[in-house]
Amino acid sequence: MSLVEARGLRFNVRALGDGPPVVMLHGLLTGSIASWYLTCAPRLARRWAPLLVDLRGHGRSDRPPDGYGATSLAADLAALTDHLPPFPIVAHSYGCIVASRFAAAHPDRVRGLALVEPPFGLELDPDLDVAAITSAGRGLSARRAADLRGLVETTSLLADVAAEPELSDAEITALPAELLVVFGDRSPCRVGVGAVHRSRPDAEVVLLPGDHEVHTQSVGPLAELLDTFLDRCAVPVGPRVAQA
Amino acid sequence: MTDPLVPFDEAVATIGRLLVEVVGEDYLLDVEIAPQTSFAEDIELESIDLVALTEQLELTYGQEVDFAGWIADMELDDIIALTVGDLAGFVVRSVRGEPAA
Repeated sequence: MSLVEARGLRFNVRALGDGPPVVMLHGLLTGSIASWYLTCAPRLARRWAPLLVDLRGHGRSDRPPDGYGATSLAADLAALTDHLPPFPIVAHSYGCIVASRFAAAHPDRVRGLALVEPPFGLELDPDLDVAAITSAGRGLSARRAADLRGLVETTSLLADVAAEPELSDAEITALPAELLVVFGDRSPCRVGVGAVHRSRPDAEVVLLPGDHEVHTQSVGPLAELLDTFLDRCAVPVGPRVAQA
Repeated sequence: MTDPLVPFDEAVATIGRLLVEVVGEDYLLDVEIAPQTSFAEDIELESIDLVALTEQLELTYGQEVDFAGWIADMELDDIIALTVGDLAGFVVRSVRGEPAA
């Protein structure tokens, strides 16, 4: 395991490929390094250097009792990537909120954002159907289900996420110039298309076949989109002209 | 196996040993690791553990064992359906410098 220390915790990170860096973030609970490692990251690694991170509490990273809100996770990311030149971020689900908060705090360090299934405009239900997410069967082994229940029961994750303010339209407007947003055509997150169109009409918005797990269901088309997006990010751009 | 660089059986045994390191002995109790053992079906290996296992393989056998490069063109279903023998064969070919596929 490649364990890297940051903010007093050990994080499991995995670096692939050669080339300009791209940081790839997973979603909460069932997400981990594997979310991208077993899907788009190997294809991107032919031209880029994906850096995959297990967020705190997830995968093989340390599991502290608190600090699971997007702002705190973005601070983890800042510490883990302070050796990198400015990079684009590819993120799934809640990782999109983390990436957005990171970009807001460190605009000079982010080349662009590719947000896959961002939960924009969705109330994060504090009573989220965790029982369903963390029960065995449904693709989860008993061991993994128990691990996820542990994450929910022994940390403040749910409370932290519920306490984190939603991304406002103004914050979406202020996201980096290079902005790609991908939704699954059968996903409830699709409602976020409205917020993106309203706040960032210039952003590229793409629907791909799939639900919230579209990154595992449309791997080929998504990897191609991301590859093109990363090309755009590699071209230096001036400061974005504010939308009127 | 005629090439002794990394005999197939040794790769299978190494995968079994690394699996214990990754998921723990208790979990693999009473499970025989054989070439036909499917990671997902037979031992319910989780994706995060598969990633950790392949990292250990790369540390054991060197950078030629490029798991990400091997799976880049696979569908997720095929990756999930991998057996110990598939992975061992990939290791053997990689160490010999043969194409992984």
